[in-house]
Formats: sequence, structure tokens, C-alpha cells
Amino acid sequence: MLDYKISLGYTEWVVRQACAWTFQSTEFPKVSREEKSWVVSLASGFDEATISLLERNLNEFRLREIIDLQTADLRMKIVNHSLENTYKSMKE
Amino acid sequence: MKLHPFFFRKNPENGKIFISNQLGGWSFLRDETDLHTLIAAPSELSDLDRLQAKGFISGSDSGDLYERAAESKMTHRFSRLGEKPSLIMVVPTLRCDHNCRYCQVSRAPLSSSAHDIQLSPQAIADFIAAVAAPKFKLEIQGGEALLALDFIYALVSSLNKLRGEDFEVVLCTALGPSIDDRFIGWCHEEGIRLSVSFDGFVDLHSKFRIHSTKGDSATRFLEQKRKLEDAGLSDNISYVSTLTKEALERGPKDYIDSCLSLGIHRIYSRELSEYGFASSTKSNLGYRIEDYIKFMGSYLDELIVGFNSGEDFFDYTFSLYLTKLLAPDASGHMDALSPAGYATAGFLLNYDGRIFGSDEARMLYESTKNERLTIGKLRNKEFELQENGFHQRLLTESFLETSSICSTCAYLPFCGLDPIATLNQQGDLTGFKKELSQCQLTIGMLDLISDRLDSGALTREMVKSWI
Repeated sequence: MLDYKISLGYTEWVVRQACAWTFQSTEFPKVSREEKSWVVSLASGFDEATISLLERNLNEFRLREIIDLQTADLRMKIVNHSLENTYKSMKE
Repeated sequence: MKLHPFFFRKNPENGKIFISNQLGGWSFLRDETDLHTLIAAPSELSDLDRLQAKGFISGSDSGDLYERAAESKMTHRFSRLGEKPSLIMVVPTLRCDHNCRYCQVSRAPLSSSAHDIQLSPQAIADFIAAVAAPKFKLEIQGGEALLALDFIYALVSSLNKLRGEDFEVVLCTALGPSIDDRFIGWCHEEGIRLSVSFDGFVDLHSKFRIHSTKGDSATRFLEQKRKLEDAGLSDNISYVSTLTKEALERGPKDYIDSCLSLGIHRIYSRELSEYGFASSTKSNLGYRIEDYIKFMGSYLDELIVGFNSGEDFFDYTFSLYLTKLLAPDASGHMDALSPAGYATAGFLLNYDGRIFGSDEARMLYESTKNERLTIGKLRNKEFELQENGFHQRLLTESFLETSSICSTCAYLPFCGLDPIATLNQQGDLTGFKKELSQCQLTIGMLDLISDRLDSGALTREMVKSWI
């Protein structure tokens, strides 16, 4: 198989993160968006183990995205306050 | 019930889900079902108290407490960049009396006259006293440090006058050069620590560390070790080993037995370096990182068995990861900080007056001579900064929270990468971090150690006695 199709229900961030943790930099696939799906293309094709790993990574990054949706505001607040405090302490 | 930001990873050692957060808290969930429940309906989990205590969730009235604690942790980490360096490395000579096949530095021959430091000890002491943290470690590297003893005596004496007892001294040596009574007396008087190269197995030490003038290197090492011990300096010595493929093939039990047979109870073992001569000999002496991690797993299990049977032996290579997991704020290892410790937690003054942000930057410079790696140069008493934006970018890239690869990793709260490794292995500063050997090693080691802590095989009593 040269192309692997992924539902558009997954965001681009999830698809690209899953690819980053599935493939080596030397054989990174092309990721494109078609009308009904994401298409991950690899000239050498995909074996079963790679597809299994890609699917696991898709699920895991989807979960990370859900965690982020629930907690991003708090995380940003913490980071912003920490940076403010750091600048303040360095000025002193 | 409020969910706080957290990371997760399925641990291949036990199949459980490792979870961690910005507080440095971590725990295991039994399986994916528990992970889904934590995200969707945390109040349905059976061990709510544990997860609440570790900051993964909070009741509606205690959310601010988590926020303040997380802010404090992050501010503390970022503020470190405003502090002065506490590890000052000095290379008084690049000359060396050993010809090690896996040397990570481009050593110079014994007869060279161009590889000894030309700056005066007083000028260097003045510079160090002005820039070092209130308490610091002076690490003398090489080449072979003992070939420059007169310089070192004078440097330590000058620093004593300027900084009193605010610093400790570590000499890195393979114990080749002669040791006299003056040196022994000085070690006692100044409380000098000796970081001695020994590869665990006598025959492998002989094979890979070739002494240029004193015959068999292991025989020389054992003679010198005995001399230092007879002079009452046993407690001042620590041992550093480089593990080759042959050492891994013999297995950890033989490694431990070999060390113990020589009276060595503590050692720091490290994998083959990616720098200097080591990068070219690695194909012959080296191994895949997964084979090294497999060895370290068996090694950790042997340490646990040994402890349970009353054996006193530990390898400090595990202490870096144990400290990260058990007391993340206490870990100051400059190669494993985020943002990096490069030029901020420590720096290196080379024999030629060049200043580097880390030992790795010096190693890479010695094999490439790329001047961008130089932060500046010390000429007599004047420091000339050679800032070109490169070092700032290097530090910027070392905030792992901003790396698209690292920002979702479960080991992010315990991790830090040496930015020079990214440059050395992948040719740029951003890199594809999951393919760095340091990334793979960190993930592998934390998988191993978190599993053994979770199973109860590795106990806090063991850790307390070892570290």
C-alpha cells in the first residue's frame, strides 16, 4: 500500500504528530488533505507493523488533544505567570 | 472534579500507562480504560486520593493550589538562567599519556609544546572568581590533568585566596603520570576529588586504553590506585567507566563482580561517546542504543538482587534518572536541563583560552574547529565575547516545552537535552529529537526505572543508601 487514508475527524495536528512518532526522518511520508480524508503517502509503502503503530499513535494523540482542550487555558495561565515572574525577578 | 494538564505514555516494560505533570508528579494507571476514565470522568476512578495528592486532579475548591505550585516550579526552572554557573571546567593541557580507542577529545601527544595553557593561573583565578556562582565545582579536565600539576597547584592556591572554601576541586585522570608525596599531601589538604577512568574489566581496560610510555595501562592503574589507597585517599576517588560492546556482552553480573574484586563499590558507567575519536571508532566498539538499554535493565535488576543479598555496589549512571523521578528539582546535571545548562549552569575554559558553553561544545570544536562554537576568548585578564547569535539560538532551542516533538512527551518534566548533541548528530539546532541517542536513552532508562519503582523491586531504602 502506497497511500494510507485517515478520517478527517482527526485534526492536522494529530495526524502530523502521529506521523512524527511513527516514521524515521529518513523516510518521512507526504501528508495531504483530500476531500474526504487525510492521505499519508510513502513511496516504499506501509507494512502491517507500521500501520499498527500509526493507528496507535493517532489514538494517543487524539487523547492528548482532548486533554489539551480541557486544560489549555490553565496551562497557558501557568506559563504566562511564570514568564512574568521570571522577568520580574531578573530585573530585580 | 477538575482535570489538570498531564502527559502519558504506555510503558513497554509493564504495559501500564505512565502519567506525569508539570509538578514533577508521576504515577501509573492500570490500562487504557483508566486513562480514558481519568480524562472523561475522573471521579469514577478508584484511587482518587492518590491522583489528587499528585496534582492530576483537584476538587473544585483546591484548583488554585495546583496553579500556584505549578507556577512556582516553572518560575524556579526559568530563573536558573539568571544565576551564575556552578560548574567551571578548565583544560590546562590537551596532552595525554594514554591513547584510548574511544577518546571523546582530540588529545595531543605527550611531547607537544603547543597544547599547554599559556594564561597565568592568577588571570584564570581572577576570571573564575568574578563569574562563578557563590558555591561552585572546579573540574580539571584534559588531556591528562596530572600532566599539568604545577599549573593546577597555582590555580587552586590563587582561587583559595579569592574565594576561600566556596569551591570543590575534581581532577579527571587516568592515573598514568607519577604521583609524589607533594601531590598526596595537597589532595589531603585541599580535599581534592579524583575522577579516575577505569573500565570495570582489567583486560578490557588494557585493551582499549593504551598507555604510551608505562606499559600495560591496567597494571599502571592498579599500582597507582594502591598508592592512593595506601596514602589514605580511598574516599577521594570515584571511578568512571566507558562501556564497550565487549563489556555489554559479558553482562552486568561479571561487571559488578570484577569491580568488587578490585574493591570498587561505586562507579559511574557511561555509553560510548558521539564525539572526537569515539565517533569514528564507534562502528567497531559500539552497539545499538536499544542493546545498551537492555543491558542497563539487566544491570539495574542485578543491583537490586545485590542490595537484597547485602552487597554494597552502585552505579551512579542510574542516579541521574532516579533523582529526576524522585526529586526533579534537585537534579542539576548540566547535560539534562530544560532550558539547557549550556553556558548558564557551567562553562569550559580550554587550554588555548577559548571559552565553551559545555564540554561537548569543546569536543565538537576540537574535531571541527568551527569558531561559532566559541563563546569568547580569555586573553591575559581580558575576556572577549564572540557572541554571534548562535549561542542564544542554541539556548532558545533547548526549551523542550516549545519543541513540537517533546512538548507532549510523558518524560518532559524529567528531561533536558544537550543542545550540542543535536548539532553533532543531526547538523542543526532544532533537530528531530526522538532520533537523538540521548532522547532514546532517557526514554529507555525512565521506562526501566519507573517500572522497577512501581513494582516495588526498587525501593526508596535502596535509593537512600546509594545516593
